[in-house]
Amino acid sequence: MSEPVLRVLAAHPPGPGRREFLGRSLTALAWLGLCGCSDPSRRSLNIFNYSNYIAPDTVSRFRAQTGIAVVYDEFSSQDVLFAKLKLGAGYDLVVASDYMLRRLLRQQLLAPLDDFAHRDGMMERFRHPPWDPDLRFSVPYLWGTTGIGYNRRRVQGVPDSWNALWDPACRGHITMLDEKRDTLGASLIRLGHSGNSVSRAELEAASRALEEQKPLVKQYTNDYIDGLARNEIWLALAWSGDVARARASNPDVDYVLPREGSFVFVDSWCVPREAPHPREAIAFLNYLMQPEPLAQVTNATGFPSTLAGARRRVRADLLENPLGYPPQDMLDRTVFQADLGPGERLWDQVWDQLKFRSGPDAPQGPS
Amino acid sequence: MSPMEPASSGSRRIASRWVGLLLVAPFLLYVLTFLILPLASVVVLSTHQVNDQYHVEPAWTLDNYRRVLDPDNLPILLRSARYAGLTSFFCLLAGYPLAWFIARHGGRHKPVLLLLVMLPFWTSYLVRIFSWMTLLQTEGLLNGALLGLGVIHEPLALLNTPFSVVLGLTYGFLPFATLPLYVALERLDGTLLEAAADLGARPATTFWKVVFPLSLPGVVAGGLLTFVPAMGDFVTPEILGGVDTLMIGNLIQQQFLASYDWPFGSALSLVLMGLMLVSILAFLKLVGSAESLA
Repeated sequence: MSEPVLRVLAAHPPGPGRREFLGRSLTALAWLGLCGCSDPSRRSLNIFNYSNYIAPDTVSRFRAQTGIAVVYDEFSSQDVLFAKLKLGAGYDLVVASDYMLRRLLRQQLLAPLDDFAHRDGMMERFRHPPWDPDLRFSVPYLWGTTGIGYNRRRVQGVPDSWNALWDPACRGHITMLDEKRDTLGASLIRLGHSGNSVSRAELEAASRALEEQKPLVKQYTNDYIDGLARNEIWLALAWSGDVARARASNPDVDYVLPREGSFVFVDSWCVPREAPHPREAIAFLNYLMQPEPLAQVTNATGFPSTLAGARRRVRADLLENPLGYPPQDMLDRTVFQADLGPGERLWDQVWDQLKFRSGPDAPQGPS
Repeated sequence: MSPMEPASSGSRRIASRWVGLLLVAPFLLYVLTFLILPLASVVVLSTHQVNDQYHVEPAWTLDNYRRVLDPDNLPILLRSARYAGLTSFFCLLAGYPLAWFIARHGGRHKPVLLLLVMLPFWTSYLVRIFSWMTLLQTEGLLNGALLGLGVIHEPLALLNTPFSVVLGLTYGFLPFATLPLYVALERLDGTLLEAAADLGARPATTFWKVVFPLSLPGVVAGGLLTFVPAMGDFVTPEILGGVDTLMIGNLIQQQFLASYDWPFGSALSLVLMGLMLVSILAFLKLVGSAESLA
């Protein structure tokens, strides 16, 4: 589902807020009772995951096996996840990207996962991530890369440089991600800077480049799978698994990691510190993080999982394609998105400025 | 019994006062809980600040308002006003003949026709806006039809443009203009039209000299009922819009749901509310004096 739908539909009322003031001001919202009201005698679980990031029958199979009722909600941007968690939205299990995980850990918003059973099967790469070396608070789930999804029939040659996204020949058929870390990050890397820069000058240069690109761009959106599949979008700043999904219905769609370098990400399950049902959350993880259910997730979403044993059961076309499991020399050109610390505010400001306050309506001339 | 009467009517008067108060109590409680209190907390929140750890903390500052008044915000405000104004205009333009037809020619089918006007509300607004995507996209129905008929030779870029945003808003808010116009036109005395015709006025003259002035309250109500929600809308530009068609509602939503800058978002909302209130009051005063002149 798309982001606006989720923003509207996933409006869970906050539980006891981290800050009493916010909690009180939102009591009115809570009264609307948009929550999946829980019957104390029944075991239940509230999951908050990226959209398109699970197999269609994962939840129902889990329910059949354990009898635990699941309220399943989706978001399409990490920023939305963070805003919801800060409000104490009552989720038991959420999926956080690496940099967001660092922030959540730094703010001590997560609960330890001592009863999780399947750490040993993890791919070596993900066993000891720098942000959570012993995987005490997080369970790496799916991973992938940020690159360029493109339509081989509409785009000349292989767009293996970020410059391809600035190609005037594709005017009106280019989309960028509505996620500041990827869109500003790709622009930074294209200009030869670190994708995790917190230098104001570098960020503003990256933003100016995106500004120049705007007339070519159709939309800033995380909803591009369908557009790629229908030949509506020719070039997309995209996440690898999404492109795999588009490719499944349109063989003209392909994916490339630009030679200047890019981002690799791993998304992990974690349990918010104030989760009402932490035991059910662990039960879900113990069910999901096994070869069979995870291979189903990979086959459905196009994103490879972190569990080494799941690989054998994955669809062949995903295994062979760099989309699914990119070769090492490609991975060597990628970095994780770092926690920006206080620099995040700067990114927010530059992003807001780019998204809302510029363009043809803005006063022209040097500012 | 007669000596008792004054006392009893007095107590009845007191009792009726209590009954009156009791009758409005639910409404007062509603307004207090769902309007005054939330609004007050937004006002308080707008003086707070977000620190580097993403904690919203009291700062008792007007800094957020300074940020709102930054001239950089003017373009998006003007753009939103332009889209909302166009939406109102097109809603009235499309709603007027529709309301006229239902009011004057609906006959016994009026209730059914009115129901049809409101029927779209039975489906989620999001679903309806998404369906516009399939109509407007490059390989969509509209482009397909135009290409097939030979009207155009290259598909038109309809989606993700100011056009598609205003179209979506107009489509979404059309009933809000139609219904007040219907009420105004329904009330119109048919003998006035006959009188105008008898006195030699042509249909166009009758419309501009008789019908339109009398329907003005409906026009004003319909215009406001479409302008206000269109101004604050964020779903339509998010789905149907492109890179430079986002509206002030998107900026506010971004502060609350993505940037986690509630204080700035609150200040933005309050300034927007204030601006709308002032301009609506000014507009109503203008219309009022125009009407009294006429």
